[in-house]
Amino acid sequence: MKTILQFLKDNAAKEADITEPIKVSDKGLENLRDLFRNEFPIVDKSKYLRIHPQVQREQIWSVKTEYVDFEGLIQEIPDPILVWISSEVKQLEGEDYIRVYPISPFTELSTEDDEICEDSALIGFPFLVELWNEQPMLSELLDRYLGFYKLKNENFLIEDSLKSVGEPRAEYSKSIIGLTPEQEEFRLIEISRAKYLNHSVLSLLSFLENRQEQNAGVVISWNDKIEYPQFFTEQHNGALTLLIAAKTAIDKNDEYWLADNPELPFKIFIRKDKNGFIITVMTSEKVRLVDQKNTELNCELDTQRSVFSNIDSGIYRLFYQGLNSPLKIRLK
Amino acid sequence: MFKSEYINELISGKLTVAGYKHIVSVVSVYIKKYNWPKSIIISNSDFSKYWTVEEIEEFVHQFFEWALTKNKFQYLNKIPENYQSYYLSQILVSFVANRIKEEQKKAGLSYDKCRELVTSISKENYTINVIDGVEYIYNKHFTAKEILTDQEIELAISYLPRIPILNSTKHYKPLVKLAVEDILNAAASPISIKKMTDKVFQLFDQKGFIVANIKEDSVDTVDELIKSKNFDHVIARIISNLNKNDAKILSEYFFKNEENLSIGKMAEKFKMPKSTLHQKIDAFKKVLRAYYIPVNEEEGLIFIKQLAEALNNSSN
Repeated sequence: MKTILQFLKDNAAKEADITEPIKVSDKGLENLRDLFRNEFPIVDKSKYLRIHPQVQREQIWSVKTEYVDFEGLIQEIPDPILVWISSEVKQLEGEDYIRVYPISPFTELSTEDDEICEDSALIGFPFLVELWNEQPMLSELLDRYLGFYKLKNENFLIEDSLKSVGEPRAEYSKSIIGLTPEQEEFRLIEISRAKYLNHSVLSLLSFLENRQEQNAGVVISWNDKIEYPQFFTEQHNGALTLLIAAKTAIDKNDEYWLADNPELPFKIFIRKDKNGFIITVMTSEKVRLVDQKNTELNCELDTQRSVFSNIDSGIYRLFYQGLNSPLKIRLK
Repeated sequence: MFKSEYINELISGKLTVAGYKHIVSVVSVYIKKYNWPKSIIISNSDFSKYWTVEEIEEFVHQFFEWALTKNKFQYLNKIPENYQSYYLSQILVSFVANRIKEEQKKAGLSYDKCRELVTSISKENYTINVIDGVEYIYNKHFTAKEILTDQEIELAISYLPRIPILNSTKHYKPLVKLAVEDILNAAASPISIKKMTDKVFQLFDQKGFIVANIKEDSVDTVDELIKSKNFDHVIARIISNLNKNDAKILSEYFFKNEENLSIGKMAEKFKMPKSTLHQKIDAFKKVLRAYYIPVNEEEGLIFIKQLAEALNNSSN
């Protein structure tokens, strides 16, 4: 079993493109071809149904291998993860999240108490539902729907256990007794890998904690750095109020976020009005703002600034020639 | 990892040279990276630890044969495309883990593994003191004065029963733990980790593996022999060093001692010193323990019956 643990610990997929030049024999190739020649006469090209049903409990999904977290940092995982959904979709400050158990094909590291599905016909191979590894994650991480699976033993659901015994993780505690060192290590590795899933929620919580206002927040990130721009409220005299009111629909106070970092070649002002956010980039150079669907947003230009208005909540990428990678701006 | 395009080529029976090179190359990278032993190739007779390309190709072929037999590709179309490469790596790693496990079963507990386990158990469960640069362990705090001499320790633990390791033994750690505890209790002295490793290793009865190796051309394993209640091979080994007279003495002592004679009386009967008779009986008991430990009473009785017959035949 050490072989499997070594493989899991090693993030094998990182070696994806590492191969070495090798001189193989024609006979070996012919033998391997023969082995498969009549095994699968018709290769099913239909693959699986590419449908995306409404996210529900007891569904199995694959998870995206890369996502931009709530604070704008890219999160990647070398090996793909499949999950079994253990809760209905819930909301946290308007963001959909679910609770899931990762699924592992390494059934040889299961214990007697583990939930195993031996039927390969469901997702292509027998799998182990990691009932000891429940994680919250944002629903947006779900990638492909693979199937529906009903647990054989519903009592293992932690939520149900809580209701029945009133003690957190009672079932889980019972099941960790009597693990072999290999099983214990396997669980630790899998729990560690699952941080990729729960990070999506943790970064949302971090955003909510650090956001500048109760109803709105802005975070920008570049080169793995995160910055929460300062929030300012300034009261203006009557003349200015009229001018601002006319231009921005803000009447009494001028409220804005200001990203003024010496590492950035420009300042960014962000305001919010009834139509959404307004991003003002203080530079005469050309900048582009792109949303999550890769659509470029319209820009109003003058000699000093580029202004993007009527922007919804979400994550945006700001492209500027002087920056190696785009700046990410999360608005909520 | 494996590229999806080549996996599809392979499954459709249209593997190209580039695809084949890729697959062999990826397996080769894994072999080197994880230092997989060559013993995972079935019927490999070369004991060098370096893999040749031919051996890697042979291994690749064996792996895919096994995967097809186990229907690992039957529902490949259900597996998401971005998971297929990981899936193929997963079944390869499972295959290797399985092979290594099978090989370890044939070999029993190695000394290196035993040392690794004794060291880890010592750290987890016992007090370790370094005295004159040597690590000693004991079940309580101790000083150098409490350490007995090697002879005293040897004598104290010489009566410990051996612990059998069978082909069916899955985990060695609990057995090693038990052995360490037995040795420390019997010796009633701190013992160096090195000596503890030696003693633990000696305490294990791995005759199941020894017997399997004695007759290399035989397909029967000890377990199979025991299952069929046929102990011929084991008994032949036990009595192989006995002469006619010894067989008669042992047969009488163990199986025909109807008058319940003491060793002294038996020595008089066979006209030999009592100590010699004692030594012969003890030596036979040791051989017996080394080669066979009954799984249950029923099996033990069958074995004894066959042993009695064999001794009787040898004495005539």
